[in-house]
Amino acid sequence: MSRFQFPIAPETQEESALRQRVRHFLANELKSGGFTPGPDCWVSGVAPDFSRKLGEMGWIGMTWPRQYGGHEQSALHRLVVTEELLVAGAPVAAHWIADRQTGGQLLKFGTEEQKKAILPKMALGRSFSCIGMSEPEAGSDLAAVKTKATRTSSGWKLSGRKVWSTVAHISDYMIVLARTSPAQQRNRHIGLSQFLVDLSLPGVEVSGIRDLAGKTHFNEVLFDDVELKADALLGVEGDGWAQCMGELAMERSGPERFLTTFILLEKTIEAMRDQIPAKVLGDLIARLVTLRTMSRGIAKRIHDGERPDTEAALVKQLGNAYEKHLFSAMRDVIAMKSETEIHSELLSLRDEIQLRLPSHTLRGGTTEILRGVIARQLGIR
Amino acid sequence: MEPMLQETAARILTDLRNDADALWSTLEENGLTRAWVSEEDGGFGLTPADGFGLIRLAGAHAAPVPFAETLVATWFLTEANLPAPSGQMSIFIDGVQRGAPFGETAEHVVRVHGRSVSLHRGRLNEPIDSVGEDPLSDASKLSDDIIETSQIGADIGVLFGALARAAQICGALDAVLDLTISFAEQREQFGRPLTKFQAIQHLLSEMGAEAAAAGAAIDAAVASVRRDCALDETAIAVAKHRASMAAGIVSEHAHQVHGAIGYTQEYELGRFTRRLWRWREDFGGETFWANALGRAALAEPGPLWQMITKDGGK
Ligand SMILES: Cc1cc2nc3c(=O)[nH]c(=O)nc-3n(C[C@H](O)[C@H](O)[C@H](O)COP(=O)(O)OP(=O)(O)OC[C@H]3O[C@@H](n4cnc5c(N)ncnc54)[C@H](O)[C@@H]3O)c2cc1C
Repeated sequence: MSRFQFPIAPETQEESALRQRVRHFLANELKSGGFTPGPDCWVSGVAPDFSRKLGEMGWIGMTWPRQYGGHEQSALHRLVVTEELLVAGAPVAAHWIADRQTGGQLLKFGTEEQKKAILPKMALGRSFSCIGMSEPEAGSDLAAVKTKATRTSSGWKLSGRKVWSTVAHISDYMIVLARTSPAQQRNRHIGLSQFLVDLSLPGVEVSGIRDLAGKTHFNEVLFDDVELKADALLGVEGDGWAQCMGELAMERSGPERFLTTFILLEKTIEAMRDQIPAKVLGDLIARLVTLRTMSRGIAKRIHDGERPDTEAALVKQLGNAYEKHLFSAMRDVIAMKSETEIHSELLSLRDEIQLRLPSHTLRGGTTEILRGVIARQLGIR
Repeated sequence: MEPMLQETAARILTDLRNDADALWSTLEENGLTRAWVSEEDGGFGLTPADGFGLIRLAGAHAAPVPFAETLVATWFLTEANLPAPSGQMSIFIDGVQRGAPFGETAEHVVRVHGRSVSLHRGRLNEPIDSVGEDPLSDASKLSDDIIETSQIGADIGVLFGALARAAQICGALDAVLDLTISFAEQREQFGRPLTKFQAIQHLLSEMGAEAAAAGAAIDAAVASVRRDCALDETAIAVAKHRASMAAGIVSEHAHQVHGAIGYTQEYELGRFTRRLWRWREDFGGETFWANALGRAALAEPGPLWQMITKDGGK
């Protein structure tokens, strides 16, 4: 009957206990000055030391096998931890992509040596990684990537340019989508491959790009005839497109698509409880509770080995819309008083979020592209 | 829901959708109207979730009979340990509803006032105009004529009604989406089907997203329903809010995609959208439930997140 499936997965006692442990840890860290809460912390809050602490707590690579430094817990356990980290505004950007995405790709497609060498370090928060999909000429139209890998006697030679690579400046590795053979007529999804690239290799140049707020968290990464070993090819030559698409459910369905501005809601309530119309707050609560239900359902499906790609696109789409709605609602509440009567911390938070908001509906697939993904699932494209 | 049951119900609701009398008697003959009555009292004794599955199906077929109302009425009666009569029933939550839906044809009306439940004779003959397709009757004189009365353990009237309407809405949203997609695939303008226009794809995808969100919210709420228990107010408030909100967006887009043909009485769309516009108001629309959720949250002193994740944040 329904076209999309979100199984109901009520929180277990074990998960609730884990939630309390994470909260307790974060409260202590906050008290001892371990971090300063901020919005959009999974992109902007780069703090390798903090990531290491999380690694020691066992909260990175939670779902990975023990033999690779993981903790063999369910995707729902991981979801509990990521929710708490985001709500606290903890600086988790350094390891976020390794934990969410790169680790999973390595588990699926990496060689035994790679898994043994890299994953345990990632799980300890001591090695970070980034996503090398976008290029200057290939944004939404990802299949247009021009970065090229050609075979050599000892492996591969990589040349090209990636942009917008979040946390590349502190990363050891990037998973690069590159062309390994020409597209076949109109099918451009053919001939693409994924590579695990060690960013310390000669010929790699990473330079920061300042975002709208003047902060550097994303980068341009140049590959100037970088010599790669044969095992840098991740998975199967020519399967890069499919492998890349396989990452998207993890990339799009998590709470980072709807909890990065929650801190503004919490702080506005704290400061202006009497000014918030119940209807406005209730509306935000209802949407958030629904998004959590959906996100949990996806985590359960991923845990069960399914690929809920379109459902993930739905969560990102609805999550982005919710966050924009949250921002404008809180902005309205704050505007009920003169700025001179409002604590400057709250105003800074509002302004900081305003400066980040435009990126939400771009990164990880734009609104328009996601609508297309959903439309395809509806059978109309 | 059991596939057999689902199939039977869906077939009846489809085949007889234009003949209310035959539809009702076939639903009744198949025992579907007593799905929630225990087996010893001649029902199916279905789980709460299965019953809501039937209600959702009723919505998906815009059933022109009080199938959902009768099921809800039997729930109230059985929760109050009262016998459930056969025949069409309506429900009337005092102080909440303007009138009793299908009050004209319903043989009985179950009235809920706080924790008290009473069974009344139906056939109310004072119709009220409403945006909906289904008839609504003035029920203000009900109280004079009580057949039986008893109490339930908790004040569940509005919540249960809201959940039932949310379930109907969800069914109807899926149906409107299907209908609109197949229309857009067939209708050609500028030499191509409407589905080839990106603007149309985007409207349809937004409809899909709304239906999916409403569906997830209602599933979560339905999963929380137990017999002999107070209901989970937050989960139901969320479900009715999300469903009512989706009802507005989906109806609006569906009419836009359909063009003028969708604006006729004859075409099928109106059977759904007129009901959606009624059901979204019934037992509180999105604003009502947002207010309830917001007030509850503002009354709690701690951080909102703790409230949202309390008891696993159902
Ligand atoms: C903060 C941030 C972090 C990022 N991090 C990474 C990262 O770590 N790694 C990485 O690889 N990339 C990253 N990206 C890049 C991101 O994936 C791209 O921005 C995104 O895919 C869109 O590409 P573009 O910016 O080139 O915009 P374009 O594709 O040029 O799009 C511009 C506009 O045109 C619209 N448009 C494009 N095609 C269509 C179409 N077919 N139909 C309708 N409308 C269309 C888009 O929706 C958009 O509105 C990041 C981006 C941001 C903002």
